[in-house]
Amino acid sequence: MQWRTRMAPWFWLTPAGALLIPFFVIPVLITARNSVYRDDPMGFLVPAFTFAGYARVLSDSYYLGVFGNTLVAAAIVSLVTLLVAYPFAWLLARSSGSSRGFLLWVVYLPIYVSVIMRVFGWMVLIADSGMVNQALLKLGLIHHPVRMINEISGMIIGMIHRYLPLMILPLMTSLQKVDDSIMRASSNLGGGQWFTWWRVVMPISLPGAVAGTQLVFAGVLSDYVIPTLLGTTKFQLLAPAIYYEATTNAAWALSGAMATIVIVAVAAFLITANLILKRVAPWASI
Amino acid sequence: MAVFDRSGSGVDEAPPELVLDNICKSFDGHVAVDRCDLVLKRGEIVALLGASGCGKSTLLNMIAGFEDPDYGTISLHGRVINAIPPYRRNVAMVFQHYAMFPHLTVADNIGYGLTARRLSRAEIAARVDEMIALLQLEGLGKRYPAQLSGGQRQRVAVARALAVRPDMLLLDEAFSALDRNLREDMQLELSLLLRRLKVTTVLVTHDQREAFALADRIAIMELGRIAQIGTPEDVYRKPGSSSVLRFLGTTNRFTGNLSDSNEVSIAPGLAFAAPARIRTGAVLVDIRAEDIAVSREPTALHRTAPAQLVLRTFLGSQERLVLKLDTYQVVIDRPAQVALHQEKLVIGQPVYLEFDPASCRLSAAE
Repeated sequence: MQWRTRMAPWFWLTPAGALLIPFFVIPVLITARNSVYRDDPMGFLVPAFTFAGYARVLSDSYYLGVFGNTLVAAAIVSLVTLLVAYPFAWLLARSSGSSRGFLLWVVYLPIYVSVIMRVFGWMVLIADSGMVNQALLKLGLIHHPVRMINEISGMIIGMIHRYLPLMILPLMTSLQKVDDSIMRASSNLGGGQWFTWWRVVMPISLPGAVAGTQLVFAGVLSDYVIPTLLGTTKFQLLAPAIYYEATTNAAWALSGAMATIVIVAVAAFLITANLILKRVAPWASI
Repeated sequence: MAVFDRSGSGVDEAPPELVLDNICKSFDGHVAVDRCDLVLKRGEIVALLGASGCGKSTLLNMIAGFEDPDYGTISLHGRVINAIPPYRRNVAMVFQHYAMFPHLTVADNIGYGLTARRLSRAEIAARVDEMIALLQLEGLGKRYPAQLSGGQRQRVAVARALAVRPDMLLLDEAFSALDRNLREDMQLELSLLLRRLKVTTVLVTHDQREAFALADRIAIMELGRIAQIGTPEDVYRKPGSSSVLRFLGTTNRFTGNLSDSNEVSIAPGLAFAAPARIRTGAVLVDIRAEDIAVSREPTALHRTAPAQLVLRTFLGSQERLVLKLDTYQVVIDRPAQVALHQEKLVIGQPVYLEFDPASCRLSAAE
């Protein structure tokens, strides 16, 4: 009886578990298992324990380049979304009523539309013959179309657009803690605008900024659609590279090793970010 | 002892600290504050008392600089401060829900205004320690606001405000978030502290007990105007209008008739000589609950058609009686001591009213 009452809360995890265990946990475990098998040119995947996949991925300059590219893209996208999201989240946190509803709708709108549709939208805008280039050509600001699609720039634009809501929402939640009375208290105690931002608004928004960065960073690390459709093979990212190894090259052990490294890297990044946050904002976990 | 001096005599010779001159403020055509004048001397504590929406908070926000008056001037130490932004006013406020900075420790909250004033670390630490001692917050310096009780938070809010050595202190419903016992303790403690430090204070409250507990003078606000200002006793004993009378304490209102012979009748068999001369005809009669006594026998005022006792409530130091008189429900408060020495009244019992006509306030009915 006691055992049953103690275990009762876990019962509520059954639906989520029924979905996640067969369709997520087990495939991930299989991938991890594959990563220590051996790719055989003849026999596909041979169940022989070896770290050859890891050794190759972590020593070959092509694969290291892919890891490096992905980290650079994730860093750029995280930084830009943070800068773009901050004022928007502030406005959202300070607004109310119908204007707040409208701003939230603007944030959610891209999430409602399939990412593929959004990518096609960007193609219409930033392709060589797209609207942006046409306009710039007509204005005489450029003489040849600026290549953005299938370039690093186009990929970064698409990613910023894709991940912006994931930065805005946690930032907004944090910034809502800075209510009118706190702003007034700061001003009342002699804090000018800059002082108030630096001493009150920024520190209180830090947990939201960290949470948003975690979401965006992890999103970019595993993004497949945007680099494939808007990016370039000259600047290969991880997810398409893994897909390529697994399908075209049928190198399941190698791609498994790459995938496992990404999973571990993402986990390490999330844990590190949380540890740093605990140090710089201990009040947030009270 | 100066600390217990409630007469304000020590304050009289001081030059005015804060002068509000003809302050007006409206929001979207709705008048919030209407021609308010107020003069505070150094060390004086004035309460702005009124129902919600009477303009008291707007007036306080204008003193703090959070709102700009549409008209009129605010002077502090003889200097007009209308154009000075809030962060340069040196007027410290204790907010209704304390507005603690959640990310700062108690010590950093208290030191916030000192950091903003660019004091040295050593000076800040010394002043913070002084405030922690003054408000008995020892041992809590490293805690975060989320780890404090309501009473502790209020102490921190007061310490944070006093730490900057403000020219004056503003309290915005500063006790409303506390339990009653704690609230009364804090009111007493703060009252003693502010008097000892001679801090000029304006407090805003809708709670007359709070105003009475803290203030040297009370300004009763109605519809954006200061309806009356005076010592707590003055505004209570000599209310300038029936609305002030009705706002303070529990009051019974009767609609009566004032005859040409200057006699007011408020119910069959209940009549008395009018205490003041006003227009004859329909009048409103207001009497405080504690100004009415009950009698088992007909009285000089109340000769026939007795009232009926419908409810008796024991309130500790007082007893509250509710009577049914004609169409009225009459509330009477009397000291528990008086009730003890009388024969017990029982529900349903017929009783007669007795009061001093001079304690009634007449006004012409609309």
